[in-house]
Amino acid sequence: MSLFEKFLKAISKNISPSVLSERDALLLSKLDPHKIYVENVRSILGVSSTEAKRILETAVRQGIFEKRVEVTCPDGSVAASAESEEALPNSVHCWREEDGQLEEVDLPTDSLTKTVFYRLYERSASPVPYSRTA
Amino acid sequence: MDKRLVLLPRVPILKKASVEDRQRLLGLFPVAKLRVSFTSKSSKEAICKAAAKSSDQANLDKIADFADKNLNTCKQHIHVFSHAGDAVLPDSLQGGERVIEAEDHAFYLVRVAFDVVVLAELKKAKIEFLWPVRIDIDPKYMVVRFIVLEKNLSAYFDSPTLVQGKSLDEEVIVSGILADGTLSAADLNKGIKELWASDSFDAVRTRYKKPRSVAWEAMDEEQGIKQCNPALYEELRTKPMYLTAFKSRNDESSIQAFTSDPTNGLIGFTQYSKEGGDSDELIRKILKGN
Repeated sequence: MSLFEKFLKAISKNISPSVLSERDALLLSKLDPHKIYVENVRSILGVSSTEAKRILETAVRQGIFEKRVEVTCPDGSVAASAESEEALPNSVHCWREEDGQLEEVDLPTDSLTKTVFYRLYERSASPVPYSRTA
Repeated sequence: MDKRLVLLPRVPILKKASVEDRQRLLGLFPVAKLRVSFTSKSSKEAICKAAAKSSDQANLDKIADFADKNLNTCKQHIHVFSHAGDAVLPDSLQGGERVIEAEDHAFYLVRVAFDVVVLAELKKAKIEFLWPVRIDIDPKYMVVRFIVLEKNLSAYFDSPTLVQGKSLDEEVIVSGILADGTLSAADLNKGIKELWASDSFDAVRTRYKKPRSVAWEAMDEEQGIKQCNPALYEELRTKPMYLTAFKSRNDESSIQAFTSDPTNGLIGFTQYSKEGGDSDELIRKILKGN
């Protein structure tokens, strides 16, 4: 089974078949299964954020997806990710623009925003060369 | 000391400087370099204190020579300018003096004052630095290198501080250098892209110009654009690039990261390097490929 088929199966398994149109399937196929945000699924399926989250959490319980958390620098770029907030490093490396130049800074993870994302469980995923941020 | 290098007989800025000024100047440099040059195994503070003590001409010459030779190991902001072969090394800089001159470069010290508030006492204070600047010149380019001064001055007051302002900055000094009209910011897009193509460094974030907008791309977890997003790499090959950060693809490299705004002729070294010659070599490669 291809990566996309596994991904589609994971999503469609958790919603009513009538909800998933051909167009939805096409849009879902364009997502990167290594990084799926609640908003990606919500917007494609036209459901609420709560419903999209429920679909993804169900897929996690079924062992199809894994839930991860990423920490973002003040400029919005992702500095690091891990399976849980506790597993993130205490500090992360960020870049800061100052006086027209870029400076490197280490910032405490506690002070930064974290975002949850999902990905196909590694055992079912194969590496892809181009990791698109969804 | 370099061949054809002249320590100027009058270096009042160093002569007039206090022991603390000289100590703070030396403190801008990596301890490893201080230990070698001043043959000491002591702490950085102790080496700087001892080396700054004497205002004998021989000692001042040694300090100037050390700063000139080791500026390339520090965090640096570098402005590259193009010229038609008629540019000359400035005699002085705004707020500073030429301390060393050679055929192909000159070394300057600029006095800069920071106004700070010492937070523990809510007291205003002033601290001055002798700011090292080196200018290299060849028939095509003038390369102006500033040491990046630390923004956190708390260590000098043994207490948290807030910087309120400083007497002059890079922009003012660069404006003075540009005043005679012979220089213009070098377009480094070609040289930077040739270096990128060689695979020694990969960009991890960049701002670039699209036909109708400015786009910004920062890779998750500092993955390389060329390695992880080849389609964007191909696109960037033809686009004017602005502020961009590059990471080395070799963990053993002495230069692990550098930044550049190629369209505006800027290069930055955001970390100390073990060997200053490596930052010189990187600049040479960029300019050679340009």
